[in-house]
Amino acid sequence: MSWHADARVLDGYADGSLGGASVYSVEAHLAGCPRCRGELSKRVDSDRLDRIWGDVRSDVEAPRRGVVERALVGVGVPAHTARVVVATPSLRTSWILAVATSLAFAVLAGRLVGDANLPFLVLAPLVPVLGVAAAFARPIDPLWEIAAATPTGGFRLTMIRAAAVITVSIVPTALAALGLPELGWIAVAWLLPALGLTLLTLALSAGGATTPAVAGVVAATWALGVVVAGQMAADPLAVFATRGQVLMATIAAASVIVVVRRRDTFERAKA
Amino acid sequence: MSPTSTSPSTAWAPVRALARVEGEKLLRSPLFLAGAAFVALGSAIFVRASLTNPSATWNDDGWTVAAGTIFLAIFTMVATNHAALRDRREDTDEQHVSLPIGRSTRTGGLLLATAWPAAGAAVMVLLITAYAATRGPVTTLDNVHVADRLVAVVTLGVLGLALAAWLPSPFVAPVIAWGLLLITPGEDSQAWHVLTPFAGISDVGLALWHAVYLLGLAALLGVAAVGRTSRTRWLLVAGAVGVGATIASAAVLLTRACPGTGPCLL
Amino acid sequence: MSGPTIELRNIEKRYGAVRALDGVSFDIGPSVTGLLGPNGAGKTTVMRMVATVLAPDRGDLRLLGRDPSSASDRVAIRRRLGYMPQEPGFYRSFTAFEFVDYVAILKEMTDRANRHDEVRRVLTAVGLEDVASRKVKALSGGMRRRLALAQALLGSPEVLVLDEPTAGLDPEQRLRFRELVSQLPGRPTVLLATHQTEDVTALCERVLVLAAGEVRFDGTPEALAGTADGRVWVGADREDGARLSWRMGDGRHRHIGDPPPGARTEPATIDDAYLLMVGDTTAREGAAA
Repeated sequence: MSWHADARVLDGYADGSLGGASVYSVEAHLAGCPRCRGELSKRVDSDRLDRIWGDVRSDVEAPRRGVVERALVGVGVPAHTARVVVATPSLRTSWILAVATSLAFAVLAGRLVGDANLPFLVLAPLVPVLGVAAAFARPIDPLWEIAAATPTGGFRLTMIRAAAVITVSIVPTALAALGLPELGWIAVAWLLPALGLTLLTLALSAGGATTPAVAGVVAATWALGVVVAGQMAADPLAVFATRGQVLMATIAAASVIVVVRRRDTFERAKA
Repeated sequence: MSPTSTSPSTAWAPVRALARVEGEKLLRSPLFLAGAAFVALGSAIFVRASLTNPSATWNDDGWTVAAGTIFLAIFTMVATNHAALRDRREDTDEQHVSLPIGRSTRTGGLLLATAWPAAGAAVMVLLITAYAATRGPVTTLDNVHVADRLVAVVTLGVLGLALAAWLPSPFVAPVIAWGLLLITPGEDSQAWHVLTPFAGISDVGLALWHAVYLLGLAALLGVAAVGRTSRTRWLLVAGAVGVGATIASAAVLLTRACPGTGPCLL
Repeated sequence: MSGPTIELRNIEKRYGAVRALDGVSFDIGPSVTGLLGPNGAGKTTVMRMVATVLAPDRGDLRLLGRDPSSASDRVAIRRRLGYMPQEPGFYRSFTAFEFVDYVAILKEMTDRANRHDEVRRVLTAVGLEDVASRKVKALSGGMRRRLALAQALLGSPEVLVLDEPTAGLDPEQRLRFRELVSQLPGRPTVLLATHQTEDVTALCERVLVLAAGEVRFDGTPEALAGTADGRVWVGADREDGARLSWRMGDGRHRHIGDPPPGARTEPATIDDAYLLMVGDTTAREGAAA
């Protein structure tokens, strides 16, 4: 380098007061001149630089957020809650694939075998029930012991996860419902049962029983109930008529009360 | 990894020992017991019907037991699948690699172990059939149907093992179980239903062909399960036999199970 | 049989860009040999190779005179081998007895009566005979560790590969473990990877120190401790020049490193020698992580 930037120019560059063309000229020179870079660094506020560098580093080093997490944050869910939701065991791809396939089977069976909406309507309310079981089954959730000792573990975590599972279950079910042979109100007749059965599962497992066992019993009782009610009323969809819906709504409401009143039981590990 | 290179009789001993342990575990597994409960329930309903209604027959009212065996077979499939996936679930794959018995021998043991739930099912069904025989006529067709159902328990048990070998996710078996339940023929059956595991066929000869069909499928699926980790000549032979039996019996069933335009299935 | 039981010659193993083992060679015969080294690729990799679970990229490995790269030899070796991995897995819904019984079948013990006797023998040897009918998921961590040891002992194998066998065991159980190992029937070759240097001093006729993929030391535990002779001293205060120092219970400070002239040196232990031999490797690996 045959010339170097003088002190005044560097001062001007450092505090931003240097004009357009001179800025380019100085930068071009700095790119190839270590001595002037050294001179410049003495003039720059290193605290600010360290802070900027720290921000860049933490942004780069932050764990990458998956699509779902970013979507949740975009919708307004707090970032930490979104992280907890995404880590829920039953929101894994394999589970969602299994659910989608089972729903597709039900819709196909309804069309090919002539049972219309029945298989779908039997299965649809069980999807969130089984999802809740999968989310809390101890063999599936390796972190349960550590989570149980944290402030968010226990009741709050249960509720966050349950809400996530219900929401995620509704979406593929609603999509699959579009393929049903008979559309109309009967295609959404599964919503209240879904809510009612899921809340019932939570309420019953608040009593201390393990969630997967309770979910199994609820699922079996539901399937049996649909068949028995169908036989007795000579209409396979009897359970989904108005009386059935009202019953489901009552179950849902009662379960909410039970869950809230017994929320302490979620804070302890079950033997 | 090939099994022991000693004489054939000692090569089978580990398979038998494993089959015994796994078979007993299958009989005690909650899934099999749930299926057995369905058979028990169906039997109880039939017994009650036969006691309260003098005109009840095994042919007309025994369907509750048949329905129970459908659930038993499907639950057996999930149970064998669950047993086969144990190593994956419990992370014991690595330490079991250091043992002399290989993967294919263990699959062979599980295959043999499906005889245990089949035997359990046979005991239950034979008891209720014996009771039915004291109340009214039990035809050859009924007995062939029973045999067909017991073969279905074996076939589905083997299916569970094949699924575990090729699609080792715990979600696969329950989804397939649901699918099987959906394609089980009900009142209005269609032509292709004859190829489902639980088709009820109104002709003795064709019902026997259905049992052969299921046995062929069992052989095929068994070869698929073991063949995942081992290739021997015996396997190829068994596979060929399975394929042959399945295709031949399927052809017979499809062409002769629906004569004319009349209803061709029970 | 004559000749060493375990022979390694210039064994190499890479995981991607990392050289886990870089030309490791040693021979072990019927004896108890300890394997010390920092956590990470080297030690566990050697254990897995000797247990025929992992194959080396290069070099010669001979176990019981056979080559584990041949399938039939591998089965033959495995019949005379017992392996306890660092993180053992279990069938948690099985009882302790059922689990060990299952592994016994996998070790080709097909006769039921003999097998059950053997299962009872190993369970008693590790002190689990009272919980034999308890499900594995109901056992404590220490009990599960002993269960993993029990399954390794099945069939009185000639080669025992034990990776951290006493981790999580209380002092009494550790002493019982030493008793167990010193009373093993036959004269098996025991390869013991451990962090418990007292176990090494108490049990091992020979110790190998493995760090950064190479054997840094191969000799008796006394000789290992001896490498740190004159490099351990005690003083009243902290010393900045020492490699490592800490305040002991009685208020004095113990230092490891290069002592200043006139310092009062202490007899060195294996821990001191290990630190001096391996300490800079760990520091480098820690910085790179």
